[in-house]
Amino acid sequence: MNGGDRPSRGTLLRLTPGAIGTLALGAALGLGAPAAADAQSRLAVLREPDAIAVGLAIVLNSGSPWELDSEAGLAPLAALAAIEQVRPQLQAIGGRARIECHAAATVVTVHLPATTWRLGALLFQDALFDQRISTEAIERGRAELLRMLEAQDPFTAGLREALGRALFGHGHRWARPPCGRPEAVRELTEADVHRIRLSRFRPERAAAAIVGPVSDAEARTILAGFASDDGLPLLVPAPESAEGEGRVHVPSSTVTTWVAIAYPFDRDTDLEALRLLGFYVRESLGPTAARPDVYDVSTAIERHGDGGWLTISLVTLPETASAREDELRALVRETATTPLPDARFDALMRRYRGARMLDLATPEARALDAALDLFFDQRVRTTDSRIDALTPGRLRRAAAALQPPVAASLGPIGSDRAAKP
Amino acid sequence: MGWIAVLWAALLLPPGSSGVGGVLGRIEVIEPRGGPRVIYRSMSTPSLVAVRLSVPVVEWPGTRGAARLLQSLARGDLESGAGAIGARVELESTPTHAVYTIVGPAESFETMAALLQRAVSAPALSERGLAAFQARSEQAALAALELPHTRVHLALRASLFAATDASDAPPTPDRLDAEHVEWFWRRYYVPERMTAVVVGAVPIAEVISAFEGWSTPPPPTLPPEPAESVDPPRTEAVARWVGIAWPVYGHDPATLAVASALVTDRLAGTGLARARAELLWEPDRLGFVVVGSALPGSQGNPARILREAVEKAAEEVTGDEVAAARRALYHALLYQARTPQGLASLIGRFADCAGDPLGAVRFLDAVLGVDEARVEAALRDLVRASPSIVEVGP
Repeated sequence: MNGGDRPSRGTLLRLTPGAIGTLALGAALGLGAPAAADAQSRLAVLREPDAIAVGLAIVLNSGSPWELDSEAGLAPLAALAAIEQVRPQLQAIGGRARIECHAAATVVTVHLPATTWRLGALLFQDALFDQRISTEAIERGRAELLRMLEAQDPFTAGLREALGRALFGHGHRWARPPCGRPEAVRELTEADVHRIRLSRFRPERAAAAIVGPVSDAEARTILAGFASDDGLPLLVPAPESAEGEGRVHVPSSTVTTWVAIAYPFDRDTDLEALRLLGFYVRESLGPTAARPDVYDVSTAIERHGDGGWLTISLVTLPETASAREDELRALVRETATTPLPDARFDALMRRYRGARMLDLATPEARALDAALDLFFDQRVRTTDSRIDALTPGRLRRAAAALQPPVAASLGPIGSDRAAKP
Repeated sequence: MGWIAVLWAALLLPPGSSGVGGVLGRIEVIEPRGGPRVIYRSMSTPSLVAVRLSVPVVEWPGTRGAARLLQSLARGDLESGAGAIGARVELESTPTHAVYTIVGPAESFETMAALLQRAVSAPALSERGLAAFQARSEQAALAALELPHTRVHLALRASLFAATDASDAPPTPDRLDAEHVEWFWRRYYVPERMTAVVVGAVPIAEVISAFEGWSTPPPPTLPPEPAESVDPPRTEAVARWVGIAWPVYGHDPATLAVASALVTDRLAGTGLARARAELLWEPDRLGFVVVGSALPGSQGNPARILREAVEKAAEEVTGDEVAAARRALYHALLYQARTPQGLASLIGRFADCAGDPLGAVRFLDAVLGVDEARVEAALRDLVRASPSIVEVGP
């Protein structure tokens, strides 16, 4: 994946007046440049003839940056309300739906049995875009969203919020929790839900993928109701210039320290190589008998219209937090300068391929992977081909393409390096 | 919405008429020379393969805990070998089988099969090493018995299927030594008695090759003296747990499974906590179990509530209720089977219970044919029989 593979920003010149209006609104909101798109690029059918289930994923261009602070959680609420509207019918035919909140998008995935996928997809499409959502469905959706928010690990949520401040500054729209805040969700009205569905839940603002034992023509016809291939670009938002705080420490009365480091990257960065880098970091610095002070290391990639950021989080003893953070930064620097020896890289790749395939074991996960590719990159490649293309040089270049990081920590006073001289 | 109504009506037609035996796709049964029987299901995407190897065992008093101990001995090598190729391992010891599952990238299938072969081959039995594994394995078994839920289940099973265990006390592990483990391994870990389920993106020729010519253990010597039994721990129960078990004759597992789903739904409204009905299905024997718990001070007698729930279900069951339970069960099983590992587990579990490699397919087919009359007849026969009751409390 490189810049030469992508449509140029010149695509904007081909926009219709309506789309230009949308762009103007985006500019007014400070949403940055859109990701360009080609026709035939927002829906994908991945046929798996010998699978026994169908996965469907819809990525809606309605992430938290489109919301006001007082309505944080509105898009997830609207998506959950749509699910609740048809939950009994979906369940009766073996369907299950769930949402994911990303910074730049709201995502719905649906599992459907091979024998009932057509009906399930049409039912869900109707609920998501057309049907008026009942008051009862909205209230069930609200209860579900509040349950999700309250079930979040408070340390993970606190660290994420602190990292948002480090990246973008306090109160910035990109620093908000992507699933919203309970206090805002409780206040959202039925009218708010209908408004966002009318404005943001629209096929022309979505990408969709279906995976399973489906016929290409039939699946494409049904998918066209979820995401239109009208040749217009998706205005995927990107953060406007922001004054991040660089480093944020949140004092807490925990016995461990939580550290998160975010490395921004631009939209030409090799995403599969970044995933491999995350895996390499987790393997290299994760808990082992030789590292008894480290309790967890995790990585995540968050994307927006102009790139994204790679977050590496670790949980460690307060007294070793600074040293472990230094070690983490050093590993990323070293990977950016020195390619791994072939034998070591090959062994790493064997483990990475297994882990990545296991992550994509369900049809919903594969549909989601494809739909996110469409949403951000307007094309889909098989996971096998993306993994096969990885090399030590690509891993090194991906690490080298990372921009200077910001950091956040949560833990007892004294475990924060910023507090030290 | 017109088109949706038409499709909806078509899907709610009485099921079973169109035949769904193929819902799990083409399954092939292979008998490689000198190896486990293989149940093979090709699945081209994702590029994963799951292998579930089950070993039928009988843990008579005096060798109880042997399967778990053999799995503990194999775990370290199996997990490190799997980790090197990006695969994952799961080991499970059921009352009738020792199950070894590995799932990983299809390109490493040969290595995965070799790891499983090694895991079920002759165990390393140094006395010192074995003692450490025995202690850990025994602790894990005893810890499980501290849980009231597990204890009630094990006691119910023992009361239903008393052939292997002449009492209704929950089986506790025996303190096994190298001689017991060696004998147990020789007696049961014979490749031709094992069943491997392979689901994934691997050609059938490679599958046959991987399971051919596994070495057979030497014949077992005379059984050793039964090992000393370990006293069961005291149960750490806050609530009062009750279980009722009925032996079942003359009804098919699919009917009983639908009945158990239906009774579980009814139990949700009784005020008991974690109340559910279950089908106990082992080769050639069936049982129907209801379990629930009540906190101290709760109103009502849990045993009576559980029993009345089954009796009322027998009297009042409706066609709609059966249809809902049937659909929920059928779709829940298909949902579990949507990954290579899930499908291998489904095929393998039913093969183990039914002794039929196509047991899962036949069960799913049979579920769609279950109707109100069959559920009612099964439940009525059940409540006329004499049950076993187990209670565990603070």
